[in-house]
Amino acid sequence: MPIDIASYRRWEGRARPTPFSALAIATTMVRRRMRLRLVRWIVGGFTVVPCVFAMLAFYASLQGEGPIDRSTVDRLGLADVNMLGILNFLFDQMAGFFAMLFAALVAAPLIAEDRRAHALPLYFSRPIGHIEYIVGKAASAAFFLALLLVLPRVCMYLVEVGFSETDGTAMRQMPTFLASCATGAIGVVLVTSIGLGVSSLTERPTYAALTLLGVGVIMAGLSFHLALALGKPSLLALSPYACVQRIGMELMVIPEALRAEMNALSVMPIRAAWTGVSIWTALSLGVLVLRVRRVEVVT
Amino acid sequence: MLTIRNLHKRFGQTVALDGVDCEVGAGATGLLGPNGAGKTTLLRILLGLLPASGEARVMGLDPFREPRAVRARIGYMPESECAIPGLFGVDAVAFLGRLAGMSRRDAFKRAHEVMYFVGLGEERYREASEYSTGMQQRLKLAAALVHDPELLMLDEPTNGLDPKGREEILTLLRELATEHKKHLLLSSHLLPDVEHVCTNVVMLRQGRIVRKGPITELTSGEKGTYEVKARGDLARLLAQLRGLGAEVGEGAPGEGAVLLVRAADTATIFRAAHEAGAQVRGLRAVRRTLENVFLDAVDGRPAATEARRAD
Repeated sequence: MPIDIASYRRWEGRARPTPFSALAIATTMVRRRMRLRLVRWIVGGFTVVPCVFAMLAFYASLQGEGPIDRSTVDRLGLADVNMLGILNFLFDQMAGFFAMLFAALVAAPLIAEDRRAHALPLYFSRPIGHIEYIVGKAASAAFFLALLLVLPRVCMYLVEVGFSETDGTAMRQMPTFLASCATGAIGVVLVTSIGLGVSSLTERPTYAALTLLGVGVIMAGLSFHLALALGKPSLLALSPYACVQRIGMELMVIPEALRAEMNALSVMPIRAAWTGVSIWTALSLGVLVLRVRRVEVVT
Repeated sequence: MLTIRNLHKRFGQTVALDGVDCEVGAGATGLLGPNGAGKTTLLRILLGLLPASGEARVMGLDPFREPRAVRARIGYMPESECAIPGLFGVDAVAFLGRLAGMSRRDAFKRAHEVMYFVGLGEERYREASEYSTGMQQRLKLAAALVHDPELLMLDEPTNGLDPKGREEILTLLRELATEHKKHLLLSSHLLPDVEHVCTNVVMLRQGRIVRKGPITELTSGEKGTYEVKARGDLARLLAQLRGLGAEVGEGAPGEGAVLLVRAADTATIFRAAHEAGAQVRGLRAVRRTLENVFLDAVDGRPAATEARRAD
């Protein structure tokens, strides 16, 4: 199609540097990801719906009509404990795996594909800096991870409050709910920073995704075996998501019987978990900022 | 538009810019130089993306202190093939408009307009990463224009374009400079492109400016040199010319020969011809091409004007 020279018109407005450029990056990236059918499928199929079903199934079990054997419920003392805390704990066990898988899908390509398409000169020729760029990208990854790690907890809380036959459930469960959301938020920050950190290291989104899965799987296996072999549960803090699970365990009200059942290694000190989360997050953010700055300068 | 004073930039041991000093006025200016001359580094410094020692002002703003304000008023078209992956062409342009500080509504409206302007109107709902090289060049130009900047910095804007597309883009750039009063800084290896669009050039070699000024002035370095085709008593004409202070090439010209005459003006030639009884059948001012000027600059030869001053 030929150029239409006569069609050029002046724009009467005036472009100004805006503090909301990170928001523009985040919303555009979210829309872009949502165009992928796989992402839509995971968001819809792996987050809210299963959690609500799990919640309803668990309720049914307590009534002796669900999938969990009544004797198991009695042995673990589940009938008398804070169900929301237990569900959140069980959710953490499951979500740890899916969080890394989801991060491989939504976070790992974010910077790698920009580098591959040489898009960074386009970004940085605009009035934005590397911090806005990173914050915008991180916010888009965090949005998806929050769908996986936080939204189901909100759903579980609402289901419990909605189905409760006693008064005051909403307020009574509020501390557990907030603690579970905090655990989810820690997971979101951790996995987002690792995902973007890995993404900034390569131009190949596939390599970034595989590396991210490798970090999750290898570190989980390594920390588990080291903790077993050396008899030091604090070594579990080497595994990024194990840290979050341990913190969640401490934050939420988990019955001792279940805790012992789920954690044969005994309870790891929460300080080790916090240290692990801090180190992983700081390391990832450091790599991320250094790499993006370097790429920004080189391009 | 641009003021640069004693700009120095090093990358480790490599000197990228070595005391660049120049003023670039309004209109279209070409930035010429061989690979590694420092053109892209200079553009990046003016965009506020690289720190450097020295002073620079872009439309009165300091790119070291107010890089974002500078970039909000500049449209930059990078040299490399680049696209925002996963977005339609119009979405990518609108997105870059929003990053420049436009509202979402304005950005989309304007993105559609500039996509038509650069000839991608029918292709605007195709993914930008699927565009051909020529289309990507147009898309980059659309992205540079979306926020209607006062100054366009274009790094090799015709890379990868077929002859027709190249002609169209150059015409468009010229139109932007002349009709829409945009200031252009065009970095290119293609001298005809620069000649087509620009009125001024700055030539860089090894991080230094070796020539600058209006193209007409640089290419008329042999000012006052004419090719004269005459009929009649040519020996007498030569004597008359020399008598009037003109310089004439050596050798006795035969009938129909072309004389190379350096004279103060054409009136001197006509007067000599009149007095010698010769007839001037052709007269043409000798102009150098931009390529001659560029090659001289790159090879480190002094400019013709400087050489003449030395004489």
